[in-house]
Amino acid sequence: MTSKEIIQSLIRLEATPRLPVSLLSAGAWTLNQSGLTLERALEVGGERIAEVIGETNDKVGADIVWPGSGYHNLAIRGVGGLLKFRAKGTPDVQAPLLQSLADIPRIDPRRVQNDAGIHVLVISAGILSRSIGGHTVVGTSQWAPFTLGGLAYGVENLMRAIRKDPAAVHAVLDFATELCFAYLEPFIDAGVSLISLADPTASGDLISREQFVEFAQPYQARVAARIRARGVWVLVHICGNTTNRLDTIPATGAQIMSVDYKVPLAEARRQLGGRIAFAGNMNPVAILQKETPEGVAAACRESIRLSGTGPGYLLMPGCDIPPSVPLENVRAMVATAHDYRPSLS
Amino acid sequence: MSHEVLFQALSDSVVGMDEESTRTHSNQAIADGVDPVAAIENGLVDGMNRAGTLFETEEYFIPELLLCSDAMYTGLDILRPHIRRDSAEARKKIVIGVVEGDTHDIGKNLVKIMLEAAGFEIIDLGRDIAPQRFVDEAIKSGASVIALSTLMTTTMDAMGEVVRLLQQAGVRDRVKVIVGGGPISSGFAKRIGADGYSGSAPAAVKLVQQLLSGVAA
Repeated sequence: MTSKEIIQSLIRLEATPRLPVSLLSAGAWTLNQSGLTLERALEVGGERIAEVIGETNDKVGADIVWPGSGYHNLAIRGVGGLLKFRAKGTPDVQAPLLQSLADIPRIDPRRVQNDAGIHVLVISAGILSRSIGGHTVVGTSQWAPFTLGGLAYGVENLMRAIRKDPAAVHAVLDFATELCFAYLEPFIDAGVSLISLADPTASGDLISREQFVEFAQPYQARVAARIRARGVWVLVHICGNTTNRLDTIPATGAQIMSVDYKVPLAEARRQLGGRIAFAGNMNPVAILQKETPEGVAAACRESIRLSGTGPGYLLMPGCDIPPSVPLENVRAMVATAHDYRPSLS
Repeated sequence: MSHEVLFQALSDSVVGMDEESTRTHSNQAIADGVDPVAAIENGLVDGMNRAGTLFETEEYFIPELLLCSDAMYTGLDILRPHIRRDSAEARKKIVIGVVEGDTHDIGKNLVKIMLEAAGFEIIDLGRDIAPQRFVDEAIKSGASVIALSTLMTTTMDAMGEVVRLLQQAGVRDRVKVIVGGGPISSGFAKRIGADGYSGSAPAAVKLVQQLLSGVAA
């Protein structure tokens, strides 16, 4: 079976000949393997980005690659927001895009499709879809509407409005939903087969389950429906502790839920097993960055053990990994998955 | 209204995220000649501490904590100007900010709120702050603590740089350094020579109080 067939079986909750394995996003890490910052990568162009991603995955052997990862905030720049690229890591939104709700009708989300940087990333996704997309899953990612809305409106403004002006929150989230899909659409046209919706602002570390159900989950579902209508798979990732809202994720239409290290994998299996696939959850800093390759392998075996028996589990770090994670550690993670046999556990 | 009842009303107003009620009762305190320091400590700060506990027990989340702090600051704005200079003890100063390269500041803002409620004077440098600036501000203001925040693994190293610059300036023994944020841990804090790590805003207050009282954190 190819990597793509393995992920397809994962999503169908069918047995696979070996354990599926992938990094989550890891755009900054991947480009850093060739000495490229995220800013410089846009300058060298989509062909070179695709080359770096392909060459890196030749060394790593993951089932999914993620062109466009690390660049979510370009969606804000694409509609007139201010971004600052850092020497290391992903670019920052410098100020809220929306000074008030009155700004919303003045901004056309589809303007995001004219951003030159996004265009470079779409080119890289298209090249990879054609070159390796037949056997490896080519994915991309974007913030889900709640997180994207927070970046557009100011996270604290959004948080206050949850209690003081829920209608305003919904107006911002309607806008963010349109912006999210307008960003993703060219990647879908370019041939990606999986999209990750990342929603860190919707974590249990920040908002309650009730607030999640009212303001985050329905908008994940709206974007997921539009993505799935185009025949593309959906993964949802939420950083931090999401244990008390896992049961709401299948209703979003996501086919894979990626959980962070704070979520017990046994609990993910209990709540999601047989409903949708789940992925996780080694600590990106404490394990992937700080451990030896042997330590990474041991942690991966422990994650596999905790994930329980049966199909529907994807070995993946709990979140994106720092750019300085040693290549050997990523290879150790993949090797652990490839070598894993249930009868030996 | 007795002072105790007034203090309870202030505390309840903060926990209840009620700016209007906080305003009313703060003005009542002034009109009744209540000691503003007592009103702040027993009313507003008590309310914010209760809110912090509700946050730790996962009954309150970020939206609630922000609105509680808005109510608290409404009261502080009314009561603080009435504090007599001679009764105002010099508050220990804390320089706080998000390190260079990072602009995520909710966590830092919550720590700032809780430290201010606990009676510290906060010099908030904001976000994306170069290591040298933390050190310069701490020296200039005579701060007792530098509190560093980051959510990103790519910016953690700047925290170690602050410790190093303090040593270089010969003032390391005068300033405590505490660190916090998503990728941070007590192990990391030890590795860079910081004085402590806290995983939440309420815990940051306890940590600072322990460090400044000389108790091992």
